[in-house]
Amino acid sequence: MNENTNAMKDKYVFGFWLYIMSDCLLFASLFATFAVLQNNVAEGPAGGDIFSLPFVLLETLILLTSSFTMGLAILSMYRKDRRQSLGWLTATAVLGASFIVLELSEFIRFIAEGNGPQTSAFLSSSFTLVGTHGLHVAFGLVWMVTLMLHIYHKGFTPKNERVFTNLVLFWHFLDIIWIFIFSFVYLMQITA
Amino acid sequence: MENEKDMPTLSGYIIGYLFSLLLTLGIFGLTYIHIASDHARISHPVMHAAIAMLAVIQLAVQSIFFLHLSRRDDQRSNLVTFIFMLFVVILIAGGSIWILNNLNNNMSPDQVAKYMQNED
Repeated sequence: MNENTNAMKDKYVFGFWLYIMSDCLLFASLFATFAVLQNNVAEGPAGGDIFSLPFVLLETLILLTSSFTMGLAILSMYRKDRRQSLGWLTATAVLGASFIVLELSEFIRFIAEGNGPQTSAFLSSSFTLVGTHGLHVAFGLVWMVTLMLHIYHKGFTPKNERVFTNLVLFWHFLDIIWIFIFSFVYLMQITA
Repeated sequence: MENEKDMPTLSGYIIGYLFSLLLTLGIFGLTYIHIASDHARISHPVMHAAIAMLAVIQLAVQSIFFLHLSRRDDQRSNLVTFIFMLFVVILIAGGSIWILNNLNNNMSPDQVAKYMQNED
């Protein structure tokens, strides 16, 4: 049984890995678009005028920590410790939700100040890039809560373990995309 | 269960987290020094090179410690697709920036003025 389920697990995880790799290409196109348009601010503000360094640092630390707690959650799964695993997953979900709330509050602030995505090519492309990442995080949260319910009710079945492995990959991938967003969107604009 | 030592470990995650934390705080610290001194303390090219370099280093750190990419047999196909992805990403992002900046530079101010007039 073990040999078979392992081979199947590997296949599923590799399939999901291929999805992540192609998602990287989606983000690459959005990054390229942003890179080309970032100086076209029309009459609107430049990045340095509206981005806040402490705010971005807070978002970054929250997402990085959630990536770490997600790792701890899967380590608990390897030890078949359901309670601890659910605990770390809850911590990850809370951190992920805080990240989304912060990002939404930033978007709302920009739009309230009259710097919505229709203001300039720079804002259109940064809203699209950052928003696409935020949408991924939001979907990840829905997925996480669903998985937590499955683990709570059925424990670590082979299917749950497989899905868990994929979710962990997805979550780490989102944190890696965020490294490039805070570096090339926020920090580059703030120092420009 | 398969080989125990192939499994991700707690120490791996802690090292990866601390390393990423250090890189993140480092680049935010440098950025803070840069803007607090009114862009005087660190020159622009140095600052931008540092941001890009630390991002790439952190990509490597997280790929190794969080995604567990390695040259181990069971990770071989993940690694190959990862490298191919990087290649295509560099092609898309690098290529777009190169070509479109060229177009931008090759457009003379006269032409730009003419386009602006047509729009009015």
